[in-house]
Amino acid sequence: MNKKKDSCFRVMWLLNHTSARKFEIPMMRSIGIEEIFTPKIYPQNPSFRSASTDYSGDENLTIPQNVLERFNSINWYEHTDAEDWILASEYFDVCIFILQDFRVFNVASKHFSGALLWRAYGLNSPLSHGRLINYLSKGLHSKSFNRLGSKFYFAKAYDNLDEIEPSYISNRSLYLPLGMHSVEIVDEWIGDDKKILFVCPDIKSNDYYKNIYKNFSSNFKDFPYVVAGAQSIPVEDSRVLGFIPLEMHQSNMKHLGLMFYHSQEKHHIHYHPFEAIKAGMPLIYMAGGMLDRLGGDSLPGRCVSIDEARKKIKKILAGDSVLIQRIKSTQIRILDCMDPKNLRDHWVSGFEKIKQDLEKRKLDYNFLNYKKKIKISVVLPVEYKGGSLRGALLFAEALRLGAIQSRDAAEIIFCHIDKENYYKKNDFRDVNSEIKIRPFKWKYLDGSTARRAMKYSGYLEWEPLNQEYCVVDDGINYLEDCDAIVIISDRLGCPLLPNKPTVYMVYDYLQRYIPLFPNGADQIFLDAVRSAEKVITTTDFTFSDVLEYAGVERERIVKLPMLVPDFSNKKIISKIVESDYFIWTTNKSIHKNHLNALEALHIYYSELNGQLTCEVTGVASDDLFDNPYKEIRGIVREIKSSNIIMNKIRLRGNLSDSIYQELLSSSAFLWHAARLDNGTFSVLEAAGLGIPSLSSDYPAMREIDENFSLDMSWMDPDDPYSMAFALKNMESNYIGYKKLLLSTFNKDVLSIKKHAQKYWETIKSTL
Amino acid sequence: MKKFGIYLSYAPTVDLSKEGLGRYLASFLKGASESGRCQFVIVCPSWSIESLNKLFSAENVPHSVFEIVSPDRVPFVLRLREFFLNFFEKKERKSFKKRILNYIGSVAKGYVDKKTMDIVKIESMSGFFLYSLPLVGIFLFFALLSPIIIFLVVIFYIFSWVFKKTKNKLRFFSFAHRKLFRMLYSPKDDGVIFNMFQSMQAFESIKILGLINGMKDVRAWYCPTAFWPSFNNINAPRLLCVPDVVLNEFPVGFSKIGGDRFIETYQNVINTVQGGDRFVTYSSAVKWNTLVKRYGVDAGVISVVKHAPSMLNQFVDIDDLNFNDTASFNYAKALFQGALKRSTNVNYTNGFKNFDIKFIFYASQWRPNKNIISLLKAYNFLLKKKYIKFKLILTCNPALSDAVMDFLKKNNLFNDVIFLHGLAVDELAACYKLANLAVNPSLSEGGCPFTFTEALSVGTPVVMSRIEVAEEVLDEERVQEVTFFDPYDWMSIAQKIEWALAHKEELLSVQLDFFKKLSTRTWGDVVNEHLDILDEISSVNAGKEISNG
Repeated sequence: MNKKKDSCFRVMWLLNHTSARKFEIPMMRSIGIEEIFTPKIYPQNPSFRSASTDYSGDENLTIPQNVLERFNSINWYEHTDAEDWILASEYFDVCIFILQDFRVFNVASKHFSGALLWRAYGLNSPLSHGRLINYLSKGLHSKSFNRLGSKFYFAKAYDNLDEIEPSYISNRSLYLPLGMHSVEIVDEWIGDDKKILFVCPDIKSNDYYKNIYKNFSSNFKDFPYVVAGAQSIPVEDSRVLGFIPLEMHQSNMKHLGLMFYHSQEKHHIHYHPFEAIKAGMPLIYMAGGMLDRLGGDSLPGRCVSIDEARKKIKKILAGDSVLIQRIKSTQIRILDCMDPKNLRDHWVSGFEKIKQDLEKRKLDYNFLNYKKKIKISVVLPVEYKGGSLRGALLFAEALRLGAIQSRDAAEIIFCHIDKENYYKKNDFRDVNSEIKIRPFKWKYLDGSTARRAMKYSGYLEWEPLNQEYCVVDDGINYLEDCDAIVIISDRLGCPLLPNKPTVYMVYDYLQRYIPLFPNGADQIFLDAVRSAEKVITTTDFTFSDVLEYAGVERERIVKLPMLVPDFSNKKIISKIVESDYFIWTTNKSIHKNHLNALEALHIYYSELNGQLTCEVTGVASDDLFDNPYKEIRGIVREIKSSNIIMNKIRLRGNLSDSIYQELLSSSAFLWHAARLDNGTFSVLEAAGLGIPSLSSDYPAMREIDENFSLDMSWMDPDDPYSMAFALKNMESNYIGYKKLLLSTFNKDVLSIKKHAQKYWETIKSTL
Repeated sequence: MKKFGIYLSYAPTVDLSKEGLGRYLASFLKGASESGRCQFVIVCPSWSIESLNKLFSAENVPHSVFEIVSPDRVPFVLRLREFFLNFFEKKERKSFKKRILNYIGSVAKGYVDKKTMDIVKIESMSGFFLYSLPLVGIFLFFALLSPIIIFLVVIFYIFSWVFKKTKNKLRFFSFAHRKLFRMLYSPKDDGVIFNMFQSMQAFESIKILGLINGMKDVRAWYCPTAFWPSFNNINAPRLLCVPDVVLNEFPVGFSKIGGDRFIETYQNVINTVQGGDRFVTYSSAVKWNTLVKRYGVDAGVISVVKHAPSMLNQFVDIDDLNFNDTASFNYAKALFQGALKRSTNVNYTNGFKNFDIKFIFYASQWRPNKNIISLLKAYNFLLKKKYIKFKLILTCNPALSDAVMDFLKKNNLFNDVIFLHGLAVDELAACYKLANLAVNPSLSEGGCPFTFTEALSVGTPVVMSRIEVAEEVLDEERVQEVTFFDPYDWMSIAQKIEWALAHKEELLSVQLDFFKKLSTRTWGDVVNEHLDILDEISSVNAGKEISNG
């Protein structure tokens, strides 16, 4: 959280509503606030139909040009990050905003050091601001409000708006009334077109307006009328005008007989009734709404029933000049409540209060700027070993290094399943001693226990949607000491209790291409990433699966460079050596394409006279021939029946890193025969040791080849003959490929140090 | 003399002498008596008076420094509960069958004893024959009645069998019985009673507020805890003490205990804090991390007043100039011996003869923040891998935690980790004195744990968690270096304990020097700092009144 760079009082007015801007910006200027930033980008959806941009305020801003340009390029409604708010804190004291996306508010509540004013103009019943934020945040908002304390204000435009709000909002009310830039009556009304003017936008795309239109057209079907208001989807009714040019609108205000205003909402009002009054047009409106608060209950345009409204409208359209005059002369009273002269005092006292509160909070900076150690836990949710374990440990190491590079005090905790005699000390031998290893068990909380846990975490409004939630039981405090949790893969048994920012590292969605699960069985994995703060992938291929299959918004997916074990202590063998074996890394997963690979080996040895021995490595790979699964039993039987082939295939199983590296460094090449996945870093390990690879041809591997300039050899994983011929080709040419690799491959690209900071910054951005 | 108020709103049936806050209040008032700057008016619910008086007289709080004011009468339902409680406690709760058999047995025994005494006095055969006649009569009588007796016994057993078979159908009565006893003995755990208590508290707090509003001579009010939002209704300067909000930091751990009753308590804390305007905490950590960061309270309205050290030496020191140290140790051993007999594994400890036993001591209740599993992991490692053969003595009740019980069972530690639950304060002091090392692996506290001063006051060194509240008080680098471990890493706990046991003298010398410095702070200082704040807020208010004219 940063201190302000200067003493100039500045406001960010993060709204684009044209009419509101016409009143509020001059009002703020009139009370001495000269420097006001307004956003230049806003969401392109029907609810912003009254929005526009205005650059005129930029001239007054005495902030650096590059900062202004950056601010102008930000969509402050939907996509902001910590850096935006930290920068904003350096120049602005107050931010006035409306809420479109809870994440924006949450980030602002953490990183903006000034006052945050939620601008409230009222919402249609039965919505309230409390309900709205509960909906947007899925019940995860109360912690943000508590955190803000006196930094937060519910800046209500009408003084009764807070009466339907929960206490965390109503206790922070600040009345900054909405008015009109000018309430001067410009009475050009003639009323010679004897029709009712009714305003109702978005009839087809918004149920709320659809009902209003339905009721109006039913109540006044025997009256002539026109319906104004922009229609996102055209309405097949010639009386519904849709968007019209300004001149036509002005002409309507001048010639149409009267305006009817339907709303009986106590906490919401539209702008157009005021416009009608200002234009001298008689306004007939229903009693019980906000106009009663503004104009009292004795105005002649007020109607307690539709019958009364019909009678009055009939008279006006019939030219009852007495009634028209009575309505016109008395309705101007309503505008008193919109007159800037009458509202200015509220704005003065409101901003005085804000300034006083900010002054008090200045005392807090010293502490708030104190950097506490950030703790991140990297959780391997399933008993994985081999490449998955190595990948997870690499992630932890990247965070450790990244934090150092970013000069952040951090502690990284690696959590693995606590299963007796499964993980050995040796599994973590190479882990840096600064990374703390914590075994854990999954604990499951029923709905009501989860609700309590969330409430105690500060999420008072959260309600469970699932029967069960899981937590990481580390025997200490369920990782409560950690600021964020990174889950390596999406394999959870039920949703994780959402009381911490969670990031998922997703490798692949194989089930999309290979039948791995029954229909719907992976829903829990998909839900997990949908609730994540960020989802990390390492290839475009998986990135697009997260987007298209898991259905996560693009903004929350991050593609980071693939991490490879640091072989910097190993020397690339500069002298090309001959070898009599190649390495096939695999495990017992179906996508490893064992059937085709074994058939290819059979062909390679029996038909193509293959000379190189195949060293098979990987978790449970030594079990491949002893306990073959159904699909490969036939080919295993065939291979076993040939002593020559059996002598050429050595099943080595899961090797320690050092033995594997030793074996790899003296091999002819690496064979990657999998059908499809997120790509394997084993080819990068191999390249790091000067060993070329022969790989199945699929998108993720092509990406790796391209990104790291590996010049790999390719084969079709669905065609055993193609695979066997490719093996034979490698047998004949691996020396050449080794030479090529030595001359072209830049080992530096593999360095974890090179990518560590990107990993760290990604995780840090979620805090 | 200035007068300040203390606001208490405990629920009915709370025994203040068992509450940490009760003892804090007693120390606070004793400190006020030392300072002599003011008098306190304690307002509390009618049901707390008896408990308060008991506490203050046990702690020797001088009456001159306080007066207690409360609404007149205890609600009728509470008196009714008291009546039933007394009734059940007086009756010996034996079964009807047992009582009948006992009665018959005692009558028969009396008769046989009397006859035995008489029979030995007979000298002639005729006398013996005559004396035996009634016995023969009785024998004949029972012989004649025997079919009826046999019939009655058979009927009794048939009834017993039927009762057993229909027991499930009578579950309602069993439920009603359990509920009645829960309402009497553990009322807070009963939903109906809990709600009733809440209503009583709300009603009582209105009456208390009426009393407070009538006390114009009280300049400001102090509330020692954040459980009671009704404190914010006082229309006078208020100072709210927030010891901690431990539920925030251990949400999952606490979600499993206390059920939804804790939510109510938690909501009360939030409401109290959010409605407060001037605060005091025991530590800067609670001030910044809890009040400022979590609840958005302005730092300027929060003061930090640290505790005075808590000592235990007075409970075991024998004042004898000739051999006070040996005498103290022997006295402590006697107390310890008594406590061992009440351990949760009494089969093992009852016959334990070596009272010079070497042990590590952690005095704490079981709570999710107490980090007991990490300590057990460290201890298990030290015992089985480093062969450090000390016992570990804890004061919590292990049965409250499945995780603790599972760990003990899995690692076969029931005979080496001893639980002495419910120690009296002199027994606690004895344990500290006899321990080779005191340890405190707590993850979070409102103020610096008392372990440091309590252990050193009886000459025992301490190792404890590096947590902010402890760092604030033990603020010398060398002391921190020898004392602290990382409570999130059980190996760090094990390594520090191992080091401390091997370097006990070195550790003790560093810690005793620092302990002397800490000991200069008294409860009088604590009260004076509170009074300064109360003075400040009441003078601001007086200023306002003057300016308002």
